[in-house]
Amino acid sequence: MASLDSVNLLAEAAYGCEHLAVVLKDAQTAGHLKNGFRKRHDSLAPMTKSEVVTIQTSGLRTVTSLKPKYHCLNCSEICLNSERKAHTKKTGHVFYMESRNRFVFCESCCDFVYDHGLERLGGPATKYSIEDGKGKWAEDSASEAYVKINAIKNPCYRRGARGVWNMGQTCYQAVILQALLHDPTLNAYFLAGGHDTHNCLRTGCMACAATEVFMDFNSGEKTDAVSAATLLYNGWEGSREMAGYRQQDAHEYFQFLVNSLHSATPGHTESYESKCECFFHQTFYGELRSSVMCHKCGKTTNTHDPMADLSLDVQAQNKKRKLGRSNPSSTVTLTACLDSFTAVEDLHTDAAYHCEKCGNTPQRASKRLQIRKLPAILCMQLKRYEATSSSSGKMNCHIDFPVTLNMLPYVVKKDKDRIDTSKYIYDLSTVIVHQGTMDSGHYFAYTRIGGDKWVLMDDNKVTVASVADVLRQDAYLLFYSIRTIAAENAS
Amino acid sequence: MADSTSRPSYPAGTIAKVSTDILNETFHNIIHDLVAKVHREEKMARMRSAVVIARQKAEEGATVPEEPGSKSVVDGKPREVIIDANKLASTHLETDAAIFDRGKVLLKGNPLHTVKEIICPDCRLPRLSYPPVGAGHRPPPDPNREYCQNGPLITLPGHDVHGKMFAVMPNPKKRKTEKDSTIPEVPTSKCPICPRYFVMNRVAQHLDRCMNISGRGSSTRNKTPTDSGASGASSPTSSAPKRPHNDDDDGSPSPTKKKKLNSSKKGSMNKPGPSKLKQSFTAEDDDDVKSENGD
Repeated sequence: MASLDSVNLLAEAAYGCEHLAVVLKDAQTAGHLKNGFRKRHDSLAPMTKSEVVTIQTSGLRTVTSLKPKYHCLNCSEICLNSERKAHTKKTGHVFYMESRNRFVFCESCCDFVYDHGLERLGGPATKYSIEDGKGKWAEDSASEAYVKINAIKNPCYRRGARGVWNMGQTCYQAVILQALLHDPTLNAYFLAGGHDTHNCLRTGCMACAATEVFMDFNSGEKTDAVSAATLLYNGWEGSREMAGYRQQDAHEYFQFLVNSLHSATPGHTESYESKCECFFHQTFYGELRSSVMCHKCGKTTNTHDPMADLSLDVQAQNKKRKLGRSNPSSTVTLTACLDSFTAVEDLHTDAAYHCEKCGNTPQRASKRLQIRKLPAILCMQLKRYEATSSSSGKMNCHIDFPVTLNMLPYVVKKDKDRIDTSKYIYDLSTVIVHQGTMDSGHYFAYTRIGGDKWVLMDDNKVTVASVADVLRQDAYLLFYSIRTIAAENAS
Repeated sequence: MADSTSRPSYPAGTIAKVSTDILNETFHNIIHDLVAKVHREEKMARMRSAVVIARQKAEEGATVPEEPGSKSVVDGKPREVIIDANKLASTHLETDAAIFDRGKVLLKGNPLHTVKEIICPDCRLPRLSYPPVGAGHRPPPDPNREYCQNGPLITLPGHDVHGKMFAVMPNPKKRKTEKDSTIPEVPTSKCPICPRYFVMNRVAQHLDRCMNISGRGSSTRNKTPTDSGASGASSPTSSAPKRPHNDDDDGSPSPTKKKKLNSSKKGSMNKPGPSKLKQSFTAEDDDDVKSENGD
């Protein structure tokens, strides 16, 4: 257990509080408490309602209170805030788990306690089972400690609060870089030599140029903006579409950038049939399932397509609102856009859908798009252009978007399974706003840095923003990142 | 909560009772979650501070004493502190908030009561709770002390979150000694192709020319209404393929651009203001002698 001791190199206390220390030092009581913790932690996970096991009491169920409940870690007692003290007095059980945030409460401290070791047990990455748990936990902390000893500390500075230079009409590039530069996964990839720049033989390699930007962005105590000139040049060299001193669509640039990063990665596959396993595919690409059901025979055919982002139709939502079909005072919401994106859609009778089972005859059918696999970084485009036969323009209207988004309703799922919804929670990371008209304008980005702080990235200028400022914006692109990355089950 | 006398109470079993209860408890939960989040952040920071202070004290006690005669400062850098691992492992000491015991740090009491100051776990310097300047600023508790650089973000008009002023376009007329060193200037960047340097926000425009992109038949694409009126001397169609004019400059006649920089300085007396600046850095002639050649 020598390696476990070195965990203390972290600035973490050995135990959450004095009282936990007493219990956790003793192997027997520690095991008991850890089991209780794990059991409660699992049972309090925000699960979807099971469709199979319905609640037996037909209809009514008595709920005494919606307030947070405190689950005793030693027995099966569930207390309200006011009842906890009495339970401790009666039984001597001191530790509880609060039902909403799954924090541990110590009645002796009369406060929440945050124990590093216990919280690791509840972490999504450690699939702790009693049989094999020991090895995994020890190994994990050993590597953590190893990194701590051998890493050179970066000096303290306001991490991530750096702009990107606008090189003249390149704000489309600056905002997309801001959306990516703060992502921990991408930082880990580029800074840990995910792309080997020294041995890369590609000329004008986008991944080499991107590595350069990520390195520069994270280097030392610099607070000024970073330059992405090489990335711009390589991009222009690589694509006629993107090249030239003119304004570009940020969304197109995002797709172009991700695609060129993918093609610059060794081991990528371009073929449509076999899945690409490259880092960028795993990070940015999800999969859409489009299912068509024939109304005559009921046969459903599924096709799967990779998706790098979701383009959401704002127009339809806005029109619906104008027509007063929904509450006229309400604004268009992102979730409503997602709802209609994944809604069942009727294909017209004269549509060219030919059902194979019905002898290749044209049939009425319904179509539905759903997300089969979600990417770690989810980009959503709110299509703001209004295209009529005579003119096209940009629609300026506000679309409500949330700071945290549950993507579970839009995902293909088996109804029978109970699913931990916390695995589908996405956090807003960047909001890109376009100011101006369809043909010309300016992009700027609001980015989350260091957990809960938001800054406005207007090219090289970095200023403070509040969450309210961010949510008030007429967003064009939204970047959400997944909150917890769980080990994917083989399914 | 529902039986509080200050709130209207409804008889049990009515819809009014149920809905007020649900509403009240939902608000209760929202506040509960917000407070819980802040509580966690603050308590974790104080826990770490307690641990860092205890560890620091223990390490100070276990530091290998400097050898006599060895310089404490080598090449301007302080000597690397060597810690006696064995001594550290057998150290036992107590601070107000924590106990350091053979490599482990145990908390003493509730850090929310015992810890008064947040210490950065990385640089072990105290962290400011309020920005020193700008909105919501408060003077640092001890002006002579060094604080962690990762302080609160600064809100001050004309300044960024670090408290630095926004960069301005460099004024080549001013000599280095005249320049105000507190105002940062927009830096220059080398063109990825040719050896010339450009002010950052002119790089794309130059690159377009250096790569001869707009000249390659797509010249009609980036033409703006101001473009056509900009130069009377040359029609867009004739001049565009080789070297299109600056469409975002102030529409000055092109001849001044043809001159070398030092002569354009003299010749541009009739054009006041920032256009001079722009021009001195965007002069696109190949024989531009003033361009800062890298090597």
